[in-house]
Order: sequence, then C-alpha cells, then structure tokens
Amino acid sequence: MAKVCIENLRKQFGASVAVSDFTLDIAEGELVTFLGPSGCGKTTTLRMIAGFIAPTSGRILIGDTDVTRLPVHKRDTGMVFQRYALFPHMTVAENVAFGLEMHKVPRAERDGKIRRVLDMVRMTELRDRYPRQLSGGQQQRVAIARALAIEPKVFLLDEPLSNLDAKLRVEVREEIRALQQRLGLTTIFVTHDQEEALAIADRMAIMNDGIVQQVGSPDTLYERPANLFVADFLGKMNVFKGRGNAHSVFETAAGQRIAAADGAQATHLGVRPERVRLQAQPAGANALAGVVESSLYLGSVLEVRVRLDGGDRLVSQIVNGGERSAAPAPGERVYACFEPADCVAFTQ
Amino acid sequence: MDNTSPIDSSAMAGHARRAPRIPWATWLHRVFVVLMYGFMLCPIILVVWLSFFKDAILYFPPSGYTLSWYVRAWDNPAFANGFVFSLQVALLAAVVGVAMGVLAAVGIARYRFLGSKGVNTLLLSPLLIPGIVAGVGIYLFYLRAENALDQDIVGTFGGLVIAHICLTIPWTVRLVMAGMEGLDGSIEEAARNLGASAPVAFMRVTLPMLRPSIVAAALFSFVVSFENLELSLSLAGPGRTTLPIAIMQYLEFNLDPTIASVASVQILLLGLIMLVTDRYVKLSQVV
Repeated sequence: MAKVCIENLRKQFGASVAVSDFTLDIAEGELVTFLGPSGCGKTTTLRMIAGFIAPTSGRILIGDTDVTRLPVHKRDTGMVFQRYALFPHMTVAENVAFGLEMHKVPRAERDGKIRRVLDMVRMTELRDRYPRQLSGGQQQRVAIARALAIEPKVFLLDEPLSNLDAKLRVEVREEIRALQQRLGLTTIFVTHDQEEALAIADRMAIMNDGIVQQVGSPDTLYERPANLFVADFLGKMNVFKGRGNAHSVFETAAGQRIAAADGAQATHLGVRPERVRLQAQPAGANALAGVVESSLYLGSVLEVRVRLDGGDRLVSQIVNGGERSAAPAPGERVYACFEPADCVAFTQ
Repeated sequence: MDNTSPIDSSAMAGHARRAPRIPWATWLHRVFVVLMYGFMLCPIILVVWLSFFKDAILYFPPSGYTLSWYVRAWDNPAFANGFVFSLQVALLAAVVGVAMGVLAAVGIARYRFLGSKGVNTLLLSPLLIPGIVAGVGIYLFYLRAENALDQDIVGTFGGLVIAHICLTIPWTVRLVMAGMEGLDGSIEEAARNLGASAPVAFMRVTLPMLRPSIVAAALFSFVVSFENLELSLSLAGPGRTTLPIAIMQYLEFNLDPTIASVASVQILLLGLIMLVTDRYVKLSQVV
C-alpha cells in the first residue's frame, strides 16, 4: 500500500472544465470518498488516477512515483467498476487469475492467491461459475477480489454499489469497509450517495462543478460545513438569510434574532433540523415562537414544518417515539428551541 | 375440446365465459406469417422434391422416384470439381476476409481519424455495386495488373480469392461493428487496469467478447462467396470453375433433375453449417 498525492490536477474537455485545481493527499491505509452530484468531476478525477484519462495539468503521485504520464497497466491500481466489468468468457477463478498472469505471478503461486482473495469475499464455492450465472452482489464481490488479487498500491472504486438494491448495498458496503481496514488499503471510493460516503469514509472530499468544496472527516463535514453547498448536499439544513453582528447575534432578513456561537460576518445561518426541538414553553438561548404548518411522517422520524412569527420557515426533525411523543398538530403554537453551538455561520 | 360435456365442470365454466374472440388483426397476422413461410420455403422444398424425380424431362406428376441424379451429378467432373473449387475459394476468402474485416471494424469503431466515415462507406460499397459490374471492373483492373506485373491473375485461384475477399469484407465490418456497439467499454478498461497492455487487453478480452459476431461474419462470408456467380463469371478460368458457374453452364443445354440434386446438396451443406454454428453461437442474437 502507498500514499497518494494529487497536486493541482486539472482536466479540460475543449472549453469545459471537468476538474480544476484538485489537490489532496491521501495517507497510507486511508479511505477517502469523493462525493458530489453527477457531473461534478469525481469520476473524471478517479479515472485520471487510474490512468484512463490524461490530465490537462497537475501531477499524481502513488507512493513516491510520479504516475502522471504512466500508462494504465503500469500504475498498480486495482479498480472496481460500477457495472462490475467482469470478463464474461472467463470463470470467477479465471477472472481473478487474469491480473495475476499479467503481473507474471508464477503459476504455482496463483492458485493459493486466488483461493485467498475469493475466501475474503466469500466466493470460493462459486469459483467455476461464469459471471452471467451470478447475482449482482456476487459479481461485484468477484470484481473486488479480482482487483485486490494483484495487491494494488491503491484501491479505486467507481460507484461500486449503485447497481445493487438497497439492502445489498449496505451489506457490500460494510464488507468493503471491513476488508479495507483489515488489509490497510489506501482506498478512493467515488459515490453520489451521501449516506454511503458518510458511513464508509475516513475522510470525504465533496465536489461540485469540478471544484473540491471541502475535505474532512464525515463529522467535520456534517457539523461544520464550509459553505452552503456542502451544508445542503450533506443532509438537510435550515438556512436563514440575514446578517451577523459582533455580539454573536444573527438577524434574519425577516427580523428574527438568533443567538449564534460565532459569525460576525455571516450572511447565512444554518441549523440542522434534528437539532431543533419543538416545545410548548420557551427554553434556552433560542426559542423562536411559531405555528406548526405541516407534519410529515417518515417512519423513524417526523418532519415538522414551522412558520415562525417573524415570517421565516423552519423544519424540525423529531425521533418517532410512538405514543409517547406525538408530533404537534398543524396550527398548534410551539417554540423552536436550539443551542447557539448548533448554529453554523456562512459567509458568501 | 368438447365444451358440452356435462361432467367436465371446468369446461362448463369455460363455456360460460366463452373463448375470447380473436381480433381480425391477429388472424391477418397469422395468415401473413404462414404465407411468408410458404413463400420462403416453397422453392427449397420444390427443388429437393424435383431432385428425386425419375423423368429426365421435368414433368408433373413424376412417373417415379430415383436417386440416380445424385450419382450422375457427382460423376460429372464439372460439378465435382466446381464443388471442391468453390469450397476452397469460399474457405480462404472467409478466413482472410474476416481477419481483415475485424481489424477494419475495430479501427473504424474505435478511432475517429481523417476520412474514417469515407473508409466505412468504401468498405460497405461491395454491397451496393451490382456483382456483374464489379466483376467486369475487377476483370479490367486485373488485365492492367497482368500487363504491369507480367503475371497471370485472371483465371487464377488467387485472383478469384482476392475478388471474393472484397465481397466478404462488408459483412464482417457490419457485424463486428454492431457487436462492438453492444460491448461494455469498462470490461476492456478492467483488463488494462489489471496490468494488460492495450494489445493484450484487446486480444484476451475484447476479441473473445466479439466471438459471436466474428463467427456469424465467417459464416456469412463463406455463404456469400460460395454461392457467388456474377463476380466469378468474368474471373474464373478454364478448368477453374466454381459450382455456381458449372450449374449455369449445365443449364444452358440441359434441364433435368441433376441440377436439382446439386442444389439440394448445396442447401444441405449450408444448412448443416448454420445448424452447427448455431449450437455454439446463437446467430439470432447477432444478426
């Protein structure tokens, strides 16, 4: 395994910029997810690291080697594709053996290695099957085994779970994470699914329009999003427009005053819906009076929309506790309470 | 089905519900299908039937049946030699044509180069030009080449095979290009990622995935070459006649069931090849 350094990477297709000024160091054994909406440049970046696309400018280092100009087959990356990309005319074992043969692993050692990686993904039993005889989840497991058999310096996954159904997605995701930690794999995992990215990552890089918006651990990104895009893309966020002042008070455009921990220069103030409690009596630093507009039943949580007296709107998420915690009915007067520490200030 | 039986309650229920009326469009469709099959199969069945007629002059109904026309056909050196010659030409033309056609198809499908559209059209053009015209054209070209090279080309095995290769290439190009369109590009990328250089990835992964298209292309090439008459007419030489030419020459002076027996053998041969191929590659999925 090796660390990966990406320096000022840029890719332009004609006049359109797919990736610009991408700089990131990935430590040995670290799992980094690239997260963003489709067309944000995350897959393009991954393909530049694998060598399928030549960058317009910038450098990529794997270990201490500059691989920017190296062809795909000399880069020692192991890639897993969205649509599995197994060789249809080869059995499971032959698929895995292909990379070993290309890396000139002696015939005598191949079988042991094949068995070991297939054991890792619990596919030993099906080693003589052809890909078309396997389910989607099984095919992706084989693809993972095939990529890991060559003991790559970096493990690359390009939306590996998007073709699987919801239950399986979680299962394979956990397997990938467990495998990655056990083997200490330096891993880049591209996804557009925020829950997936949060669950699996050591660090995440959130991208939009070819630009990295923020890099950090899942909780940093969730608790302290650097800008409105990150705040909105990762989970839900109530955002008030307005102006902060030096006394840690934020005044919304509608005139609502909110106590916030910081943000003298702030133009927007955010607070997560699950941090907003709805109470009959005011309590704490922020208790904004309002009327319940509607209540949405989402199973494990209830989403309550409140129209504050000043005119601002706000969403609160309440854990569904069954009989004990009935959500306030529409029309009911409530106080939306939250801590200044839960407020995030943005400057634009 | 006897819907009136008092014992069979399910039939009774069925009777009560009445069989759904089949709309006239469905009937029309069925009639059309039957007619089309008849239209396509009628000549084949007729030819095979004729080949067993006893009478030397075609006459309905036949006075009896015999196998002697098959013997006579094989005893006729024009047919026997023509058959073997056609087989050689078709096999060689198919093998070389497919090899060249696959390379051309991959080149056109993969790379955008100056004039790639033009090359594509050029390679498909033998399908558009009447065979007789192409045959004369190639004949005139060969004459010039003979003069320039001081070497016999017209009437030689090589000359005929080269002409037939031109004939087979469009089939390969079209079939293989269609096959490449259906391929998932990330599979070859996976091979590259696992350490295969571009040529190795192509040979080991992409080419095997194209196998159905290539087999179909070889089959079509063989058939097209084997049964070609127009192109061969001006290029075949004395003692080097293809089977279709031998049949035509025989027909000029005779009209007995020998021809039908020759045709039956040819139908049987091509049918067998198709059946055997279909066991390994489902032709219906490719063509």
